[in-house]
Amino acid sequence: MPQIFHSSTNTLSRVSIIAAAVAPLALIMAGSQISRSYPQRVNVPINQPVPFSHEHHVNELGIACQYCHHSVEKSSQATVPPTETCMSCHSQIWTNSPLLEPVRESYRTGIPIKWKKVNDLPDFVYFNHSIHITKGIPCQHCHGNINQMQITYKPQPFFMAWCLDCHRAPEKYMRPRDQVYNFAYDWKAAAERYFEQTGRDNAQLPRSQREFGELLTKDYHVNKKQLSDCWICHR
Amino acid sequence: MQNELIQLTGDVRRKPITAPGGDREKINLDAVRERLATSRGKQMWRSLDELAGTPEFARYVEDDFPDRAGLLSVDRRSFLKLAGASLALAGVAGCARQPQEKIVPFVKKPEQLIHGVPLQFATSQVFGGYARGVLVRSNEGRPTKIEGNPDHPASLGATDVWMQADVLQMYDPDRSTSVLNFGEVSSWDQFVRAMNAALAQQRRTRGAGLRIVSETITSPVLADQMAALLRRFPQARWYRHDPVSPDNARAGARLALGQDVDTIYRFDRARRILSLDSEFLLGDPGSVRYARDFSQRKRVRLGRSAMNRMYVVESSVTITGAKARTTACR
Repeated sequence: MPQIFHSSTNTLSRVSIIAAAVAPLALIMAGSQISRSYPQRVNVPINQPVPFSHEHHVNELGIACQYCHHSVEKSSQATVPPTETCMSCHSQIWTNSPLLEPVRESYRTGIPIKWKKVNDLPDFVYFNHSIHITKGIPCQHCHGNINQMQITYKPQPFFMAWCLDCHRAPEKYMRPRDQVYNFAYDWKAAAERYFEQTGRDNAQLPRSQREFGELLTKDYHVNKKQLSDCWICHR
Repeated sequence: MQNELIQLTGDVRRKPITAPGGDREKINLDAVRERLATSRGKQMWRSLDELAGTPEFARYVEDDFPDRAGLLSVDRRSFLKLAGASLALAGVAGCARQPQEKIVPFVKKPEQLIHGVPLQFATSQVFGGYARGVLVRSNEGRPTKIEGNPDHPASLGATDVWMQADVLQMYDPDRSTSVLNFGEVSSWDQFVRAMNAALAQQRRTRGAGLRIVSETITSPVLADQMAALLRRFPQARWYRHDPVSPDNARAGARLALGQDVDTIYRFDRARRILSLDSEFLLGDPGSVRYARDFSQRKRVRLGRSAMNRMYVVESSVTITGAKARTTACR
């Protein structure tokens, strides 16, 4: 009686056993990747009326975040700057650039530029920029390396689990207040400077960012217990 | 699936338990006329059907939800189909991609405005011709709340009902949002043009045909503008009308003192108060301050052991009367 199964079937069966174990995992990962890019639009650059480059303005020119997003320390919203702010420089430089025509037109006609919102939280979430900045949560943590973005995109899907990760343990990401706009943050150097500023003993320097963060939660009066309460974000 | 659903709901709609329209009896107009002729006073009726008193209508009124589709008219299979469909489709709503929202910043940002943080303005609310200092909170350029101005002597940080309610005037749907000319929407340009033409005509007669009606004006700026206008049109007349005005009190002051004066009470100094039909705690331009002064004298702290004492004689019950030690009311 001839063999029903060819010898290669051995390999096939082994591969299919492994595949059966790996396939669901791969499917889930592929699904999550698709859901990140299509419905969540993570890492998808959004075309704006003016191709504004954060990379150019922040990295190359070194303009501070607050120059344009001036209310980020005072208000729930960081706000997109008025046309006037753009024109404070662009009435002097690149005055004939065709890329900047929408800005000049807005300034001439008084009709605002309509920017597309990139980082859009659902309307049932209350988010306040000023409190995060005041308590030492860096721009970078939510907005990613925005200083390297040619066209702005959303670096996180902003899932609730991601918010809670920090709300349950803010010490993982907290920095001294003067470091929140820093995109080349080094916790060791920051800790040393912070100890100098606050007149602390250098012998007690923290051994990790987490330890440093713990110290900051106390200094900045962050009430960790209430941070993961529902009403903090869902008001 | 969709077709089936439409069919189902169609079926449901066709079989309500109590149909308000359809094959009910015709209204007997003679009976109605007879009833109307005999009824007197407040015997209301809501519709002709009720007036006719048909049994169908009586049933219709007694039903709590007369327009609902009858659930009983759906058979078991259709009901399960509907329930299954709603369960299956319940999750679909979550799959929608968030719509692209726009950010529309200012072109020129107003000074001091921080988006998302309310601004406080010190301004005044006019009551009985007198301005009372208030603070108005403005959210993104819209006034939303009025509170007293602690630095203003007529408020001292407190308000009354009229100050609190004043913000509603701003959003009154009956308030005109544009210039109207005989009910037609017009513009300020046209108003100024029409006004100039009318005033040019008046200039020839030195304002002999010009009459102005206004409320009491105590604003120095507005009073000065009115004086300038009257200098230019000497023959014009300016009439004052207030819906409620202390005219009699002023006439009394004129009798007593020979000139137009308003009384300012010092309740912070009064130990005994007699109020003759005067509601000074509510309804006077100085009421908010008076209420504060009056209640301060009621405190028996800081070494003061005696309260002030008030007697009120009034023709109808008032807030002031309620605060009195003794009230006489007829």
